[in-house]
Amino acid sequence: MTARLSVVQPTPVVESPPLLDVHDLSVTYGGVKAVADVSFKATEGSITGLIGPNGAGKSTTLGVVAGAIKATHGKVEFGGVDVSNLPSFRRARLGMVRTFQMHGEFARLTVLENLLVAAPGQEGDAVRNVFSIRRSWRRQERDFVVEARDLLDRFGLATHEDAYASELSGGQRRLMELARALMAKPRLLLLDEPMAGVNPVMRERLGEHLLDVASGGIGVVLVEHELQFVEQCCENVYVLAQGSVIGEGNMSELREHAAVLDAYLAG
Amino acid sequence: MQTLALYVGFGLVTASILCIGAIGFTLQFGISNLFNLAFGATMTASAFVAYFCNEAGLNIWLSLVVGSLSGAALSYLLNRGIYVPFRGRTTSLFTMIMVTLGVGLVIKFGIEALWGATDFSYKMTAGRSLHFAGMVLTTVQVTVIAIAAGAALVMHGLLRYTRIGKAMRAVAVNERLARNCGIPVRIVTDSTWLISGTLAGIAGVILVMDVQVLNPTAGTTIFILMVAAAVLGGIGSPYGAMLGSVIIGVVAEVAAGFLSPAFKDITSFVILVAVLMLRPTGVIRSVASAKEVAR
Amino acid sequence: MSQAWQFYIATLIIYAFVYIIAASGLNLQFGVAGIYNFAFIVFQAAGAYTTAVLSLGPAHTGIQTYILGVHLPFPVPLLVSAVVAGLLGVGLGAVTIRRLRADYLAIALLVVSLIATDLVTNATSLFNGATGLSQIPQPFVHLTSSTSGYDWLYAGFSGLVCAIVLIAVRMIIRSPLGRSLRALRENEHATAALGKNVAGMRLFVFGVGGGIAGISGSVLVSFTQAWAPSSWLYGETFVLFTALIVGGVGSNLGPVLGALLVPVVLAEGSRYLPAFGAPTLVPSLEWIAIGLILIVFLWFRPQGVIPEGRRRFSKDWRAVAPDAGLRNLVDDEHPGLLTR
Repeated sequence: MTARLSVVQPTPVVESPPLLDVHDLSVTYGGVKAVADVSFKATEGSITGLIGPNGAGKSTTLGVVAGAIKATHGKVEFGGVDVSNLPSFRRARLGMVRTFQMHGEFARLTVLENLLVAAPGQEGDAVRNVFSIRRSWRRQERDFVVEARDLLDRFGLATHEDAYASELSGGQRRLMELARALMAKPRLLLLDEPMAGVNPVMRERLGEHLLDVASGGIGVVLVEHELQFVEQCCENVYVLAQGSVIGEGNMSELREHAAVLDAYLAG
Repeated sequence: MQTLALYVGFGLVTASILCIGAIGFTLQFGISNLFNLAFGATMTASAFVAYFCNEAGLNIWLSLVVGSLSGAALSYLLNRGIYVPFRGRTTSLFTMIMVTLGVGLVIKFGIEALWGATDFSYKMTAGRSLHFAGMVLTTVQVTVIAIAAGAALVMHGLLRYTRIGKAMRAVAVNERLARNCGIPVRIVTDSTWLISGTLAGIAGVILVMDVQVLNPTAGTTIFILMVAAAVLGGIGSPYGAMLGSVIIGVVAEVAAGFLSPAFKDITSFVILVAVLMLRPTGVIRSVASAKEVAR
Repeated sequence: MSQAWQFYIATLIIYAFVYIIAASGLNLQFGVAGIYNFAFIVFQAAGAYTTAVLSLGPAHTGIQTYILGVHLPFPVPLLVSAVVAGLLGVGLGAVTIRRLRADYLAIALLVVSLIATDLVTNATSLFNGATGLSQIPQPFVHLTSSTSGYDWLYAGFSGLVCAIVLIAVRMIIRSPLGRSLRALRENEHATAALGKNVAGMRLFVFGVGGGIAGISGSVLVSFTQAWAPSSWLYGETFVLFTALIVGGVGSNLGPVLGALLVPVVLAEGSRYLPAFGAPTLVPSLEWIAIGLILIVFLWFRPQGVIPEGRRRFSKDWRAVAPDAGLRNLVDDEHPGLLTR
């Protein structure tokens, strides 16, 4: 606790809203509550974990936040803006980028092309520019390629830039997806089990990249099974079981939490 | 009211033919997760086999039996010989449907190439007219309805009370789980294709019995109606196919009767498209949802 | 060369160009964006009928009945046809936005094709029903005096239209929009998750692909001067799909090769066979050939003869010194930088 100057009171700073604020999210599938009144927050520059046994509703929650799944009720606020009714592509344009648990890659596009798709504000995406003689998007394209190559270098995928995404190994695909998500200049990353199927060495590297990314000011929400990884990276962790949040805190706190232990043992 | 009963009567005949075919088509979807666009051609081929038996002197009802057996054999061979190898090679649903399309073209136009586009007919009479509750049907048509009802009952018994039937239902909903439970998926699949092939054969022959004319295009339009019936009732569900057949059959004939014959097909097509747009999984959606036909 | 031969060769060339245009349109929908439009032929028909009723004079009852008949001069019918077919495409795209499984959607569109045929056949006041329209005026006839002169002129004209379409489609495929469309084909959810308006892109592809189909219909009908439901049965869509599967899916030249190999060689080549057997024998054999070609290609070479190539980018495009950057700008104009 820093000591406050007694002479001049510092003007109270209006606390900026958390990057992601999720209120009472619920998703019901034909009578079954997959997600029940889940609330959590994520802040810029931090990594937040969502853990829990299988079927706890973690991926569904992420899907709702991203806009891919419709919630029965609840609110999602991103950077202070209520995005609950926005389709997923609009949320992505606001800076919320997600990855997928399985098959998130564009199989018959090269690794470099995968990243280029993510580049935001691409003029060549607009129909009017496609047919313009000046082809102003060519210049932009070159810049994007330079940027993508830089990212691939950092993730150690430079030699694979011309490989089709389907030709990569599982771990390499995960790296590529992360690189691709970064290419989209996100403010918030929603990662769905990024470690699944990745070998321990790659896992360490991915973890370092994530910490790097977060230190750059990007917020990360992470759904994961690999608890060691979660402990390494996440400042705050929410535990879900059977669709509800049953615990919150850092990993060492949670390890003592009775309900959490129960959930893992039972489910 | 009188005319309504009349058209409903015709509707029941159409529904009967549709019912047998739709069950077969929907069973094939359930077990192998593909839309067998060659089904109509299989019906036609079986109808031709029955024709040749009939020409050779065999009684029409025995020819029906032979025809349905040929349908079973053809369907089994198509699945084992073509569809299974392709499914092993590709995960693309579109490729599969194009393959069934190719097979259908080869069979249908193979028949046409061999025997021409002329009309044939079975050696049989339409039988005398029966009047009942405002409906006017020939004895043959009544027999067709009886055959369909009988087939539906047999299918119900098969699916509900026999091991093979229950296994078929299990595989349709979740193949991997069924396999893990020790169900011999390969045998169940082969059996399903044999059964559905038999249904295709029966449907092809009784169709010709009803319309009294046989040509290579015999199976085509009515096949689409069968698809409509199967989809409406819930693709993959045999009970759905029965339900859909009754609805489509009766609605089509009533529309044809009251509006004009031209409306017979188009009403069914419109129903099909409407179902696909509004509630793609159909009425009974257990299998359709499991196979994720709509997300 | 005799008159008859000239007519035959010119007609063949025109048909080839029409098929190439149509195949390119379908390639955009199916090959690039992964939309299995089994109702494709309806858009060609829309273009053909639009051109017909805009080129024909007012209908004289008793001969043929149809709507409009405003006898507009070239190039209005062609342009309007493209727009009408394009709008129809957007309409269809909007309705089929529902998340149907790929093969399920294909069946829905197939039935739409059947409905369209049934409608036109039965609503005879629209386009003269099953008999169809005939004596459709040919455009710019006054430019030549001889019929064979006109045939060659028209062949040149259809070649020009074909070239324009091919260039336009190439521009789309090679642009970032083309890349986004291919991403849409591969993984729709991931594409949306990266900020792309997937629904809008799909409407675009339905619209442009439909418009191109309409152009092919317009060019065809203005030469053949007749059009009926028998010209656009649902099976024609399968012929075009086969053409793409054979020629190459998703590439620039694939549709060209496919259109030449499948509809042209198969349909027109069979003219050379002496008419043997029943009159329906040769067409039956053509369809059997299509079915077999489909199965064989889907087994051995599903991507087609000229598949979508691997896109590479100039190795010079990395963080480099400023003058090298300038050199890269100049090099942009050389085709070799983006190898296929």
